[in-house]
Amino acid sequence: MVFRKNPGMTLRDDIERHVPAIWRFSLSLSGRPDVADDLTQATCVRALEKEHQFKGDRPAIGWLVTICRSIWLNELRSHAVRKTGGMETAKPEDLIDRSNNTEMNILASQVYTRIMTLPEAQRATVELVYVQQFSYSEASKILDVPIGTIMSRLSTARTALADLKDDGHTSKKGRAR
Amino acid sequence: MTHSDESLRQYLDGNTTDAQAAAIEAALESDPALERRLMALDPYAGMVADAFGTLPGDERIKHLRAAIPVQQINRRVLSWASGAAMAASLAFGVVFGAQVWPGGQSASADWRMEVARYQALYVPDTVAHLSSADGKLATELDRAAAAVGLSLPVDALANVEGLILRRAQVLGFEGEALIQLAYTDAAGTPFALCIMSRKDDGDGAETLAGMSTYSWTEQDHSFILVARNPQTEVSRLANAFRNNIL
Repeated sequence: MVFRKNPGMTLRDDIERHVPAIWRFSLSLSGRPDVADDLTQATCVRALEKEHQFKGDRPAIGWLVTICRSIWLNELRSHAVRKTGGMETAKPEDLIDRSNNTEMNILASQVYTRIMTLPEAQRATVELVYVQQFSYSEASKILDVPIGTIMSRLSTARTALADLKDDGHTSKKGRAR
Repeated sequence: MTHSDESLRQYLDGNTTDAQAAAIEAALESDPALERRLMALDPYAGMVADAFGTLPGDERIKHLRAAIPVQQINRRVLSWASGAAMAASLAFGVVFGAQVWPGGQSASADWRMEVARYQALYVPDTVAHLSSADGKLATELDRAAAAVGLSLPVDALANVEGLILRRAQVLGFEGEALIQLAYTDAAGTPFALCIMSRKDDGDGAETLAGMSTYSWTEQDHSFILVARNPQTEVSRLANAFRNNIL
């Protein structure tokens, strides 16, 4: 029997609650809001199919983003690349989520654009650690890379954002790995 | 070795030597407390979380939540696809209904679900051998159209946004005619446009049996486009069909 912290909550409830987080991670992988819709939907369907594999002893979101990444790498990425001619070519106007009814302020908009123009692996790392607050070690397990790679990707992202930080004490130097 | 907050801040700002950075990263491997301190000191986390925190918009969340299947996907139906029984059913034509599905499971009264389940069994090889070049297609299409009381001109339906018509056949659901127009895209992926002469409440995108579908109704007929492709693509193509059929 699957153990759940809240016996009244079904996996479907968990999935529904985490839809925004799954979509943001899907966006970080695919770089495009429309592809993120498809990836989110595929993740929800697959998670329900694999419910028997969900142990319920830790938050569902880690399991869901792992499924999401697997579908992206194994099924949707090649299709999306074929359709768009490459995943790094989305125009800035295509990056905007047009369904967002809250105006981003100027700084948030600049941060968003800088992050979204990073390569896929760095976007995904930034999303997991900075937005979803996964620890470095959790992110390293989800993305299947060493912690050092996580730190290097975050370092590159910080460099991209350095001049937007308000204290002005940042270095422009990033480290390669 | 302990690391002061100041040295961690320098690390986060890229102002340490490679050796100092390597020492901090090595310590992170086995020191969860250090990991927590470093995360808390990171001045970029908040600004990135603020930028992404308002995404996606409410409308998008609503649509995405609405697309989550209500019932679990029945894998038994999919695994059954590899069996010889399915090959025989495909070869001789299938009547939709409870008797088709094995294991005593009751078929849904919902024809859209049945169509999606049926299409879930299609693979490129199911339709790869069908040629759209011979004159049979127009005859098949006429026969199918007549079964549901529609006029479906082959010119309008042979090629819809790059989907090529491969076959038109008459099937049945609960004693009523149901027609299936089998298409393939440029990659050979099967699509099905199914039509019934009945009014239906299907309207828009749904994930059924793990398939992307898009349904609509025109007067006394119900339509559904089904494929394994991403939902946005299926919805876009469904609207192209909608325009071509009207």
